[in-house]
Amino acid sequence: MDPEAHQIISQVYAAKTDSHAADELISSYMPFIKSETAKFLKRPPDQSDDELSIAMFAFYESIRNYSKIRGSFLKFAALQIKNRLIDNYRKEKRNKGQISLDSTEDDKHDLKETIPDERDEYKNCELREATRQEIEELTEQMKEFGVSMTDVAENSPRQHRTLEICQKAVQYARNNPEVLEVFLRTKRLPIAKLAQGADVERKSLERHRRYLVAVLLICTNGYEIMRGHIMQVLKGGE
Amino acid sequence: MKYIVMECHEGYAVLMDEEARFVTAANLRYEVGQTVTDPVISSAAEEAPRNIKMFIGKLAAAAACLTLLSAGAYSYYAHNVKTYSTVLISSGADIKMSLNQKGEVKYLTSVNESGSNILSEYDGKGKDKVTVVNEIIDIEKAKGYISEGDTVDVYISTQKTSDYYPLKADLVNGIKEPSIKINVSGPADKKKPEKPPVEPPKQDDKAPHPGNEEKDKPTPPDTAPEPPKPDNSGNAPSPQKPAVDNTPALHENGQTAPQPPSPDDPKSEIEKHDINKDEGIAATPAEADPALEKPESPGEIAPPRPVTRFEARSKGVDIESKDVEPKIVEPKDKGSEENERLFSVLLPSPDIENSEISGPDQPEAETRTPQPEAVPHGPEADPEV
Repeated sequence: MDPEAHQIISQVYAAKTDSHAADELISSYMPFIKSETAKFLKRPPDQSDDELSIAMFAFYESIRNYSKIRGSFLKFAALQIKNRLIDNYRKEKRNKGQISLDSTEDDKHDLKETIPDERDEYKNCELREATRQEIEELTEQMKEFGVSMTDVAENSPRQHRTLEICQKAVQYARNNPEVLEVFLRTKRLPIAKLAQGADVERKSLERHRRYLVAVLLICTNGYEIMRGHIMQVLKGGE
Repeated sequence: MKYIVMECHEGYAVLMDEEARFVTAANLRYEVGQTVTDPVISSAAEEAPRNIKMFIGKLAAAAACLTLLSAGAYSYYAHNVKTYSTVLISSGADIKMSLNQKGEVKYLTSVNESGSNILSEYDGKGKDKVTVVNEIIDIEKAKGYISEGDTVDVYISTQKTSDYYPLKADLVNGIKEPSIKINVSGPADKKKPEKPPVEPPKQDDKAPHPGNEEKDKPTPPDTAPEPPKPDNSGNAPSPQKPAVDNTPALHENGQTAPQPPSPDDPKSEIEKHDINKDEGIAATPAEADPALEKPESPGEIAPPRPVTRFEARSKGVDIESKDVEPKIVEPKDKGSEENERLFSVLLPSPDIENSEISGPDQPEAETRTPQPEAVPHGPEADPEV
């Protein structure tokens, strides 16, 4: 095998489990990503193009989904980027008849500027900043449990039935503060108690342990904005 | 759905939706804490195969359930609902019963007005067929449609002929109305193939007759052999020592040699000589007179043929003491005169003549009547004897 190809494959396998390595790999292969985007756009992409962001995301997905039996990684990644861009193009094509707010009515003014903005931008900036602080705090607390946001995203339930099981467990923990206390004190997830109390399968909870850590941390005091965001999950407990 | 951007990376962002689901999406210049509404999410591609598998599994399970349910439903239908046989009670009121496989009445229908009147007051659904028939007959008797001594026709119609006979037997045995005549019938009775009429055996000359097994055997040709010429050459083959056999069949077809007399018998020498001559001609007594065994008329039991004196003598046994059926020897066309002459020679001794066997039911005169017409045997015509 080509030594260069072998090196790429080892980098890809390292990036599968390490988000920083994935970011480094994406940065190092940015010219490749741009060239694939340019092939699709028939022009060099700008940093502001959504297609470039989508192409980078497709490259990240290629890292996650690649295996040696799929052949050359770069060819596999190129195909993934192309397919993702085509999907995005088809999705955008459905909204082609609509006029974008960014489109200009004349050469001077955008349509967006003609609509009165009822939002309080200052308030929004404050809320975003508060949310960012909550998220940073949560990320730091999650590190104490050995969990990162990327891990949580990978461990999040995809099936609706599994999501309901996890929501039952979270609901039980919210209704029983002593469970959350034990969770924060021991920094271990009381799966047996949650499974018994919520009357769900322990195996289902174990499969989504990292996700449950993140959600139970959000349910504790100090994360009001995020707790308000996921109120749909917690609606039975309030 | 709104998403909060939880983490931003070079190529992707981690978002949290309102259901507390964390997803990775394309980082479209997002900032942490930003709320977005239409991200490019990656999770859809990973769920598709599982969904297809789940869908196929559910479909297979549903198909299996449907198959089992259909089989069960059909089994229930076949045993309980489907009409397997119909019984028509034909009397004053004609009522038709539809029966399931278990013999329970599914529904009753009336063929005429009287039947409708009965069914308006009686409902035998779910009851046993015999019970319903008895109850209907009771009702008909009570209403006066039938009276004692009348005949009730019960007509059975079944899908399978094999179901007909048990059903008929149940009804015949189950209907207990001594005063009413029950006539159970069905198409299977008519369809029953008639046995071909057994033709009586052709009563010809060769027909067997009861009580005379000798006549059952095939008879030789009608042509009577010529009386054997005396043969003094002595070339005749020496006869084998015959086995002792007292049955009359010994004289048929010459299959078995006649029994020689015992050496102690004083007459044995002469008789042995006769036998030797007879054997030398190679004509057994039965072969010599096949035509004489014909019955007088077909269909009648021929009288037993008396044993000829020669046969009695050749056996060397006391034929009077044996239960030997006599034979009737009919006169022959050919050589009858010659036979008479030979018999006159053959019967010189009154002792031998008296020992002639006669049938148990035959008068002696009858048995003696054909004596002169008996077929002579060659050796007996020997003047030396």
